[in-house]
Amino acid sequence: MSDSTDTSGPTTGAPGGGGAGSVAVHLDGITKRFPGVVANDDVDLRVERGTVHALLGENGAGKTTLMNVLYGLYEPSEGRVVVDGDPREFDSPRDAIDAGVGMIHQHFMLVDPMTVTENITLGNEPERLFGLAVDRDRAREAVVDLSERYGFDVDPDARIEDVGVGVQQRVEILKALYRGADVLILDEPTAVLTPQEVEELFGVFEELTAQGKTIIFITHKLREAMTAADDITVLRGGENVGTLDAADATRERLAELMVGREVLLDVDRAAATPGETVLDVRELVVGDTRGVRAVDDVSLSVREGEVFGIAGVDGNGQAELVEAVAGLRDADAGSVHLDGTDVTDTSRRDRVDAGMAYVPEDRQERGLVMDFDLVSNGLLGSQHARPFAENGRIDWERAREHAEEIVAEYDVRPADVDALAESLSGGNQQKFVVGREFARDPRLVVASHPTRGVDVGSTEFIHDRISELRSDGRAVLLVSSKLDEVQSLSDRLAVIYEGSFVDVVDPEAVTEEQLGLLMAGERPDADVSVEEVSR
Amino acid sequence: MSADGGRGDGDGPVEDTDAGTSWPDRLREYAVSMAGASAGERLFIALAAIVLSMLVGTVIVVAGGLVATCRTPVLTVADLTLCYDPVAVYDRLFFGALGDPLSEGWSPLNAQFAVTLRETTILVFTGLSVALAFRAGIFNIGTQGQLVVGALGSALTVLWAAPALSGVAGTVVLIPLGLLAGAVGGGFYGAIPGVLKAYAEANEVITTIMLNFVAVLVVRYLVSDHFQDPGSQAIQTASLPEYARFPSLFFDPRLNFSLVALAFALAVVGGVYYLLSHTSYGFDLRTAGLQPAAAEYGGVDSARTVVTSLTLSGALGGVGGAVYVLMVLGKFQRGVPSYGFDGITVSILAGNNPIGAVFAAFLFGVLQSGSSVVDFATRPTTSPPTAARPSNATARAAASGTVSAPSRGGRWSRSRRWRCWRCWASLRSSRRSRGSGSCSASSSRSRRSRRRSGGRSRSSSRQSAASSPRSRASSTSGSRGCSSSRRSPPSTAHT
Amino acid sequence: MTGSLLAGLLIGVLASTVLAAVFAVVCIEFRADQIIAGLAIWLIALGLAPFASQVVYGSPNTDGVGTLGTWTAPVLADIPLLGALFDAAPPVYLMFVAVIGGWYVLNRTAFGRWVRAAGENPRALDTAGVDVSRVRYAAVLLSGVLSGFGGAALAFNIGQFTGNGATMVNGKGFIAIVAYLFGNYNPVGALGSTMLFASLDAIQLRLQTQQILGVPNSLVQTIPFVAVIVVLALVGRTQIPEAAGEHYESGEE
Repeated sequence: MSDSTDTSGPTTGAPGGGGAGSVAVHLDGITKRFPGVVANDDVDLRVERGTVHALLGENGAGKTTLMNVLYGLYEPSEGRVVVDGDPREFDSPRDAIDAGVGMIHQHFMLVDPMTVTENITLGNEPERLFGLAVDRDRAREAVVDLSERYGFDVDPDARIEDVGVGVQQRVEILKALYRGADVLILDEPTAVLTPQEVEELFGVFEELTAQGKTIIFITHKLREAMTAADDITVLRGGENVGTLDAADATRERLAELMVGREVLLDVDRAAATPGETVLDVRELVVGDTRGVRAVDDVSLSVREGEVFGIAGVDGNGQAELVEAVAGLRDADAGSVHLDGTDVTDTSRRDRVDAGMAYVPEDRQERGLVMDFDLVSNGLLGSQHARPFAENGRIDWERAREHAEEIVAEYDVRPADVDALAESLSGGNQQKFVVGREFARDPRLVVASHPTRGVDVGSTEFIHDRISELRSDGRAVLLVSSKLDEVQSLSDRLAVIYEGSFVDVVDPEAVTEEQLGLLMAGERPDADVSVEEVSR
Repeated sequence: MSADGGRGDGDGPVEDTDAGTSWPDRLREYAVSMAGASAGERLFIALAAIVLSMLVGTVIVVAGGLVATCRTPVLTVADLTLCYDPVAVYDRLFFGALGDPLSEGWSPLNAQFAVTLRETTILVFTGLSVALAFRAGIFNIGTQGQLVVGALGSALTVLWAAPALSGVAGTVVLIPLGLLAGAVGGGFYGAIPGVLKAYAEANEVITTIMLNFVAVLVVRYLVSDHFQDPGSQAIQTASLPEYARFPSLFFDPRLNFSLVALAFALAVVGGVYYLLSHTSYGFDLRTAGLQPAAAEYGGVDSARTVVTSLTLSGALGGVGGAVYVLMVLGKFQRGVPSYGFDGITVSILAGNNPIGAVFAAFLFGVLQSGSSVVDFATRPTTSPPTAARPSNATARAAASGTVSAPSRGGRWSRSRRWRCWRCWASLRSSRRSRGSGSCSASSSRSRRSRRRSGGRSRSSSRQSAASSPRSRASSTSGSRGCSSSRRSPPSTAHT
Repeated sequence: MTGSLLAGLLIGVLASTVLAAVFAVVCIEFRADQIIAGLAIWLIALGLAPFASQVVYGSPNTDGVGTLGTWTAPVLADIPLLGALFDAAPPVYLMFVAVIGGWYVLNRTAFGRWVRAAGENPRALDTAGVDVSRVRYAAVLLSGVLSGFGGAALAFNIGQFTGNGATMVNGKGFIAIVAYLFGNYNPVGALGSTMLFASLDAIQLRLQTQQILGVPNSLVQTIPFVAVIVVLALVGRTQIPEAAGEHYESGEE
């Protein structure tokens, strides 16, 4: 709205002269500090016009923060942003958009019930009748023109809620282009895409760069960076640890830069001594919120003293599978047995009572009541059970002791059980949730992304605890999108793709490459499976 | 969410707050920080809100006083005349409600204080009813309807059982029976929106409001067509026998207030507090109210919690209705005052805390009782309307408030007012006759209003269709100025 | 007479817009719970209107103000069945204008799209460079204007404001919420569903006056309310705008 000249439609061509080879974006010594954290430390980044630049790094390396600085969401503590050779100060994304910088967030900013055209033109609608009406023909034309120019296959009249994720992403890109973006930032664009859609996206990248657009995309996947990018910048701990020409980059080199040490940490531990079967899932089918089969015929079993890992690209049914096992989602078909008892239709509470601990994916939505203190949160799930409650009456003394034990053992800070959950940092929240669940004396632990958003020290601590559970003879079902995590902790590793297991492999024998193929739904040439997957 | 900055993960660093924020931003930040305030801060907020709403009330009284015309204004500046004196209003509102504690010979057993405590007692129940549902994350706007159903259930049950008993034994059996019947009636009526919400996802705010209307109409039908007291013009049941009513310790029995009922109310407060804070069920309920997804994770059956909490909430409202019947009226009569709606404001003012509800209920008891004193005591020729009920004061909603129905007596002549006073005084001496008798002033006015409405029978029949939400207006009108009987029977003019 | 009625109409609209403004400030600026704030506004209005009438007229009911009568459109009024639509009180015509206008604004203007986006995904609107708060303010104020018209129409229909009991409004605002839900969040659909509720109300009145079927009046009067509950139970699952009832704070990222 601030840019009235933009309302007429897309601006075309590269402003400010400079053909291919000139620097489109230069981040000059960017430092971004948050209270207690340095997210970016003196980062230099040059992106040449008409190229694809990958920003590679582990979770927490500072990639998104850096891009938020470029997009005007954060103001840098130090350093400057130079776009097309001009130093800029962005107070808001609007300024960035005006300077030709567009960002496609991981979570799409689309209005579901509206059409593609309505979404693309939102806020910049071409008008007629002195602003009394949207010029729908002109809007549609502009969208058709744009998608033809860049070879997008998008129906301008389709509703967003009716099209797939890949199309939605293209709509987001079109939205940025419509606003005249020359530099496109994409945050983890492949996280929600199928391999085919990823291929198509990379095709779109080529088309865009061929027409002079510049692309920066954030990823933590080596292969993608090497396939799609011209240049790769690796961030680690908020610092730029190297920019490479993609042609010269090798996986080993990138991995070493990313992790900062020899890759593949081997957890030294005793061989598994699996005992009785604790969890037995048979031919499970689960619908997602829209009723589509999110989990399609999955069978698995976890035994005492065993960690069963599930790897896969996010959104392939892991969340639904875990919730169905935990009793938070109804199964449409199949069964879940716990210690030989069919618990498919039992309530969540019954499963907790039967010895199931569950570290949920979203600790702030599910795992903790943010407005409760730690005493109450330590009670969550046990509020009906001994020793904390008897005859419906809660023993608050006991609950307090329990919370204090968790806080002490898991080094939760601040060590104050009267603190509200919301006042804790994410890492400490997670440690508290993990501590509470592991303290249940469980038969089965279901852990979903147990170290997501947790600092390195806490991550190692949680990993050690999971190993301890295993040696204590408990069954663990572990879901994570971090490959090294599932690979190093699991005894058997299943790869899930579109709701089904592609294969179950020996995590020590399988290579990352083979896993990558499996996660894309393909079988590698070498047979790595340890058991038949019923399909 | 693998965002490096990790806002969604909460461990993410927070952007430093800008130094140069505009005042609305700062004000909002302040308001937001207040929303997460501690108990002490909440108390401060509540008090600040009361003061603020009194200021608003003053403005309304002054504005009303400037608009109204009267023979002897309290203040005349040039052409402007102020008919109502805000200071006198607040003096009467608060001191009047306590029976003038600063004057000589004051006794806590005075009539006006009894009215205050009577109102308080019932408001405690409705406040608790709303608060309990609120804590479970449910907006029960239907306490009024539940109270009405509970009141009728209580009256009918006691009337049915009374002939079999008598004397002290009757009291000991009938009062608990009446309370139980009220709880069952109200609980049943609360369960309906509970089931609709849990299993059909029908929004409880709307269903409970609709059920309020339905309750009033169905109850009117039941009473007028099946349980009508043949000796009365008003739509009401027969009177309960004396032994089926709350014994009034210390206070004059004619004041319709019982310390036993108040003690029972306080015991229920303790019970609700215990339930919420010290039981597993209370934990479930609070968790479901704060964060439904976490409650589900913690093994709380959300559908069951919705139904049970609304049932319990309804039962509390129903008990309020039973107390109204067993303590105040001694029968069921159409036109139940809007205790249920006041319960919403009581609960919000108390921060949905059961203990706090006692104090909030007392404040509202004072306001209810005081408003009738105001009518009476401030007298330039017109009596100032009792506009100044501070209420519904949440921190977040800043100043908001209900304005109690204004006096109709604005243009009464002095003599009519006096007749009414005399009449009320005479009625006080005979408690039994209070229900069926009526003051001449008020009944003559009723006739007048009936005449007025004669030409538009359609609209009047529709208004009277649902007198519950603002029944205060109609039930008060018949007795305005007769201090103790704000809750006195409505005249037949509205039926 | 007509001039003063027009003035009354405008003042009525103004009054209800002021209340809507209070609601908007409390909810948008101070992020109060929308249900609580809405109830507070309801209770304030419920007390304030009869109070104002008391001050001015000495009674919760105002003196008669006259009605607008009917305007008959020649020729059109003679059309069978539909003719009744063209032989009606002015507010009826105003209502048709409001329905068509509402539909047009929501579906054909940029502002209407912003309103829908602000309800479905405010962040999308924000990142598109539109101030979500301003859009929401405008929407709430417009809602106040429309309900003001509704109230004025009600008063002119009967020729008086009656503030007894539930006041003459008698829960119509709540029925409107359900009607809009039932009308699938669309002005034209809302017209259909309000006509359904209105006809139930009319049937109810007719049954009362004519004592058909011998059903007691009190029970007949419950028809509209029960209908609301039934509709709500049946369509409770209809999709409501994603972000309805939620606060939006721009710039949090």
